[in-house]
Amino acid sequence: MPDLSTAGAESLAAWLLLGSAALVAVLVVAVLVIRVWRWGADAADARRATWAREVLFRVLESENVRAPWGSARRRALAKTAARLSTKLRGADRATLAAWLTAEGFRRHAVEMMHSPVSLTRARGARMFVACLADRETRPLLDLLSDRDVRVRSAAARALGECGIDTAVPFLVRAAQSDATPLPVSVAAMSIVHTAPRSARSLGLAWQSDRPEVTAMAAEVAGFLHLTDARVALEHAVAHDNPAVVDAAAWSLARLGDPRSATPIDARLRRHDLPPLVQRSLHGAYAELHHVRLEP
Amino acid sequence: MSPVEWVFTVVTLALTLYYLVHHVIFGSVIIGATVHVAREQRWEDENTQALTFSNPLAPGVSVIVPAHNEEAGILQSVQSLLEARYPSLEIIVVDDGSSDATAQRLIDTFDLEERYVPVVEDGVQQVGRTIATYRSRRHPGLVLLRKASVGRRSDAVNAAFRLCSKPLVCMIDGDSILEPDALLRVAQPFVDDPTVVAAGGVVLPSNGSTVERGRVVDVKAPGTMLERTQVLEYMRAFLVGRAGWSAANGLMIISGAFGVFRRDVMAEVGGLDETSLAEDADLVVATHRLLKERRQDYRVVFVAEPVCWSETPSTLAVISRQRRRWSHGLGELLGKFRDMIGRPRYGRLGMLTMPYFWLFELWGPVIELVGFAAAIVGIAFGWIAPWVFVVFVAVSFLLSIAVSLAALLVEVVAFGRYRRLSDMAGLSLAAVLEPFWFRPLHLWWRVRGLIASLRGEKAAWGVMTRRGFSETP
Repeated sequence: MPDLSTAGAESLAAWLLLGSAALVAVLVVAVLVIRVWRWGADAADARRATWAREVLFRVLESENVRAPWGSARRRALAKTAARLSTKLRGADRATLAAWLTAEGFRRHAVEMMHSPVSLTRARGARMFVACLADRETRPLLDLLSDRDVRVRSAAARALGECGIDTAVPFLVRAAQSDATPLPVSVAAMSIVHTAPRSARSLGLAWQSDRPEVTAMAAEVAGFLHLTDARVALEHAVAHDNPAVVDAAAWSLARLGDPRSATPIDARLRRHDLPPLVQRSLHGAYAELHHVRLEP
Repeated sequence: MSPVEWVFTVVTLALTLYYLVHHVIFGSVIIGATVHVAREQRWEDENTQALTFSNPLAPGVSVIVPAHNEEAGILQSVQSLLEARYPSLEIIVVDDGSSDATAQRLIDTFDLEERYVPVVEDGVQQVGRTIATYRSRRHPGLVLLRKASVGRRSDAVNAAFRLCSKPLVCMIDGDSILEPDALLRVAQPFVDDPTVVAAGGVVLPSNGSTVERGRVVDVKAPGTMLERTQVLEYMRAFLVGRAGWSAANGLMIISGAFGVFRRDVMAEVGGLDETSLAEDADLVVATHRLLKERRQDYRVVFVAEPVCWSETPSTLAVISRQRRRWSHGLGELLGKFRDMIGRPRYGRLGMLTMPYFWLFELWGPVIELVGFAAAIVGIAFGWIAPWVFVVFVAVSFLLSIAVSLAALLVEVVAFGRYRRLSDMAGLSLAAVLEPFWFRPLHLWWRVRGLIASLRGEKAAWGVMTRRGFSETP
């Protein structure tokens, strides 16, 4: 065995022992101190959130309120405003947005959206929506091609919250993108939130070379009951991809036009679908004939 | 130097290297976990979940609850699912040959009536025959499947999987309680990233906490040292282990007590391996294998925020059987997929996670015993000074205490679920005491499990004595 009784080895052992013991002691103290610190921090956060809600409700009642300059309170205001704006509609939302813009929150949100840090860009997008009283969504549309998928998703959700249906073609294009794709499910949810009144805005999604995008368009059209999507959906029933067929069949059943039974019947006769999709097609066919399909 | 002394020197140096490598890898896992949890926490946004919740196009989830003699906690478990915040949910409870009143309690409480429920995924096999299926009159998404037991949880899960109609499948245990937002949070990665095929959440012991109408309303550390030690173990396993491996994109285990999988992928691998004891890890590894071999872009992720509360053993007899079974299962799993170990084709899973689990988790107890025996021999023959051994053991104990405390620190900093200072002090004390009493016992149980796997023994559902949840009066 190597000789461990040298002074160097003994001092190394002593340092190892002391270092490990110190690490344990520091961790025990950290656990207890942080627990206590969190009580204080949580209580302070709760106090600031209550104050921010109070300020924002006074703003909604058209009182003349100025935002403070302290960063902690401004952060609390921004956070509470972003949360509150999702629950407001019409004049209240416009009042809040106008006040936030006047107090410099919108400018700050745009600055955040250009930050090199992804999280800051995403937070900027959320803040921007709360400040949006007009239809100027350009900064959000730009973020749909952000290099970080989570920022793209945050921007898409923000667009959905805005409820501006002119954003739909941009969302579809972002979902189709090869370089910086937007997750299809995020695009679908955002489009549903914007609630377009015509299937025309789904545009190229019907001819997309990505089946998941076509399936998304079919699902959205059915869910939003876009009757002008019927012909496109009937074409989609003949698609090679079972997911597209499934979504199209479900949507045609929701639209309820009896004319759609013919393409569904034609597809069923091909017998080339997985059992689950086949069953879904049978269900849609039955629904169009007002028959409840029992298993 | 005599030949015996020479062999001893080589063995000692190899063991020292082994410990060094183990600590370096685990240290990296801790750092990775801390970064992962901190980043996820910073991205946490309640608006995102609110939007998913309010969205009818959110992917539906079928929750499978396999239950075998779970009458003590099954009602709270199902109640917690019925109250879960998720827009599209289907709950399939499997009564796997229970000899207690599990099924009857469900039928009475949730107004279940016998109804035919169609099989959706007939590609997955079920061994125990189906006795009857029921559907709730009050909750249309709640289904009960009664089947004959073949003694394995995996068959119960497969039987339920055949009935699942939603695109995501979640597995929980019959004694588990999900937090109201847990499904929303664990399903979010599937919404955000189409390449995600599986996601796991955190499982924490419910022992000691108070439950009200299927919801944990007061999180409290349990009273006994055995249960507190398990709280630490779960924190280590999830907040450090899973989070760290997930950060390295090499997650091998998603707990069967709380995991979500894409149904199409799960169907493609044939569901759970009915013969496996580690069926949850088996499914994850089989998924990795399938998608790696197909060269498909995919992710298996761990989400540190959502919690599933589960009752853990409160007696040494039960925990010894459980740990022996886990070790046995790990041995079986690594044996079954041994051709993936050390193969670059399987990425970090093949090159890092699986070798780590084979060398340090499966064979770790044996190597620890060899090290201990070598030290005794060395001291007896005067080849090593006793103080070297004492320092080695002391440092090893201190580092293992530090790992437990690091997990506790992650929990306090990121989540703060245990709010009482007395709980923190109690858990810290449990961390300090653990190496002195629990670790030797655990080592022995793991050795027995390893022997069982080497002998190819067959095992079945573990017998777990349930106390049920403490309800507020």
